[in-house]
Amino acid sequence: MTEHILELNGITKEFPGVKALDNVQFELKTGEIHALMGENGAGKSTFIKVITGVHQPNEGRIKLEGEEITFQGPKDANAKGIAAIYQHVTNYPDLSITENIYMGHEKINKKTRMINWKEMHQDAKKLLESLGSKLDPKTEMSVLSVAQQQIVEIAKALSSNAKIIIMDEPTAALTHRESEELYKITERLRDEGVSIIFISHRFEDMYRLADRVTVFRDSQYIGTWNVVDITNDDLIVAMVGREIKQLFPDKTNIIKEEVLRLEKLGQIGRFKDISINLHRGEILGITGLVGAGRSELCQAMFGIEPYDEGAMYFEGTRISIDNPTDAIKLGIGYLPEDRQAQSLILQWEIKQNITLASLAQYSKNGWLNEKKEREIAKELAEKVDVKTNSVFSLASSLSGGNQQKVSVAKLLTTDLKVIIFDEPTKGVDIGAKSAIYQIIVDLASSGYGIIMVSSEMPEVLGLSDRIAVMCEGRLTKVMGNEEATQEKILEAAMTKEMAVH
Amino acid sequence: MKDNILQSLNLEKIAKFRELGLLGFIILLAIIIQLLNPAFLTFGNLRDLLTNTAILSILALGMMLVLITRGIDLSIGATLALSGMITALTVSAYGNLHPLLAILLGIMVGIICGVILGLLVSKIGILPIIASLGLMNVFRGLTFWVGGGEWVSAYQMPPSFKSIATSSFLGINTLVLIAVVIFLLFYYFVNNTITGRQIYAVGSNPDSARVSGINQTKILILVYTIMGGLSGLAGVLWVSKFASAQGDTATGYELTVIAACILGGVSIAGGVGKVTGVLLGAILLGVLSNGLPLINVSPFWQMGIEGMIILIAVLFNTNVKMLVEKNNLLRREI
Repeated sequence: MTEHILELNGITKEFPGVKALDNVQFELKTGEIHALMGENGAGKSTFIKVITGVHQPNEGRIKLEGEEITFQGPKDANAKGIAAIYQHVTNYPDLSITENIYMGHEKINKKTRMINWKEMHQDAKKLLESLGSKLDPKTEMSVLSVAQQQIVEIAKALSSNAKIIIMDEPTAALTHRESEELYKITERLRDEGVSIIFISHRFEDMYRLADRVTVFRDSQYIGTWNVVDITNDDLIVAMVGREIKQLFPDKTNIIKEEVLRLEKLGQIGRFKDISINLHRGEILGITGLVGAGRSELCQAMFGIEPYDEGAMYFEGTRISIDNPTDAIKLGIGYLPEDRQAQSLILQWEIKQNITLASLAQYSKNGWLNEKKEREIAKELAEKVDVKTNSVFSLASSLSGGNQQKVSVAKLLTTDLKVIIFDEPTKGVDIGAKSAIYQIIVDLASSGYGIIMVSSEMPEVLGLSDRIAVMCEGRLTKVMGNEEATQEKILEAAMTKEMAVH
Repeated sequence: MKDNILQSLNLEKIAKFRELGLLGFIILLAIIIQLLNPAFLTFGNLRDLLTNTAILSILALGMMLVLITRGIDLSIGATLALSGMITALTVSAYGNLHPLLAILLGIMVGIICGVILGLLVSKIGILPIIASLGLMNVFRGLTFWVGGGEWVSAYQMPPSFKSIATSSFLGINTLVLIAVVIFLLFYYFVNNTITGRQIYAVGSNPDSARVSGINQTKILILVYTIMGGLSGLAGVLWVSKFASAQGDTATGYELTVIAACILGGVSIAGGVGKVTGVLLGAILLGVLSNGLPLINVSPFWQMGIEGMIILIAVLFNTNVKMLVEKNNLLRREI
């Protein structure tokens, strides 16, 4: 029996064009709670997928209880006692708790080959009780709260005799009290000898629960510490301590008069009391952790999901925006986070994608003038530097960065004053990133008011004139670029109490 | 070499290729039928074939728009019957009603049916298949109710009304002429207008269409209204052609219409469909239903053959589409 139940050494995982993990190591002791921390995109998720057998590493060794093993797929890892619980609960909402727990390893009566429901319900009840839950196992999954669903997920892990349980941001969608329940369950599991890897963005989770913490940054292993030995500041430095290189263009934009103002904007269950303004020529960065309500705020400003309370003022007059058509008419444009699903029609030509939002400009009495349409599309595609043979190529043939440029070109066809970018560089390579930054600064310089939602801190710091930080649906801090540091942002993103007004 | 062919493929070219294939298949079929029964390519029979196909193609064009928006309309057979019945009753009561007014009346009935469906789908958000299934029964019931369960027979209809289907203009049968005019209108509508482009956008990617400021409610109501109007028109033409309006007129015909669309390359998943393809799909079904009886294929076999052809067409579509998508990914520079 070795001290470490799980050991990973020299793990490297490459995807076409990206190194998602670079020579990473990790050790998990038997019966410990081990926190894994790092920024979005640091490689935590890929790492988890390596442990659970979803991805096979290109290099490196995995040792389970001292024996070297390779996983062909998630089933392998599961059979060896490794289970994962994800932030977005993955279950079958229309089936009962019992069915969810035993999905894939149902109890079968050996003689009749029928499912043994009675035994399954009883065992499910026992499992739930061992986790301190009084839920009826016949209840449908969809009526449960997120916290209750997570308990079921944990029961599911236990039902397959998991020795290692990985929890990927389990507290992200929980209230404080629910989190406390989860902490207790987690501790109980540890005391029973289960080893737990706990991924979280919240410092309080780590301090409350973990024995040790490992930090990843930029796909690399940074270090492992005993939680009692490391200070908050040291940890933040470990997580974000990268230098920002000359990735960002020189800022040439000049901030002018106010163009947009939000007063106590709120949407039930999503965000509340958001008051902030935006000036012509200004880049306002909005950041925070995933789930803080940033995208929801932007979608409300654009009318995709209208806000419930508060007011919006555009150039000094109060406006109401019920749908995106209203927003575009006023001069507010939106670049969605998921360009493939929300912005582009991939099976269409680049040209048709660029002109979709502004067809009226190339037509007379509803009749399209394709020549004019083609010319403008061509001009804009060149302006944002889309790398393609022709504007007649399909959008699906472009790389992620170039698809994003097409989305930007599409915005430029309409007469806008405010442009909202939601994670503009998500999933694009470093070269395209720098090009998109240049476009954003150019747009601000030519007088657009820019709102940029981003999880990437260097990007927020490198581009924004002002930075607004959100945490759990509230605006926790607004600061000018000079006073902003990564540490301050991270602090505001993780603490809900210090709401500003 | 194979790579080069793959490189040059894209969905646009595939669509042309499959249309040419469809045309070739229709010609081949015609030749075979002609060899087995020389009565096929005669003036009288071709006229029959074209007038029969006219109504099918009018409906298939409307259905194409609905399918492109990811919808479906199962109520068109019933709408057709209702419009036909109301028009037939009206002309049997007012014998000197101008045929044009009769046509307008039928179209109005169809538009009302279409608007109701459009509102249910777009405003209330009922799934199109459910909403149109419900309305199908409602409209069918109404048809029996207004007809009092009786037929309106040929002798009750004035000659002017019956002549809508039999008359000709510039030597072309009126039914065929109407179908050609509608085809041309559709061709320009879907390819050259803002609304046409927006219909495809809504079906290709609803989220993207919304972010682009396209009013989806308006688009959905529009396509179901057009579908309804065309069904109403088809109702008048049908009753005039067969000189009989019955409660069960065109029962199940909606499935033939959908089949014509699928044969013509319209995707049930939305976003894809061309007017030329749909026309060819309708003609192919027309040739089959006209030609197979001529070569003594039993009606039972005939249904089976039609079904097989639809399945083969879809199989072909799916395979080629997968090939193209894979090829697009290969070409993508990563």
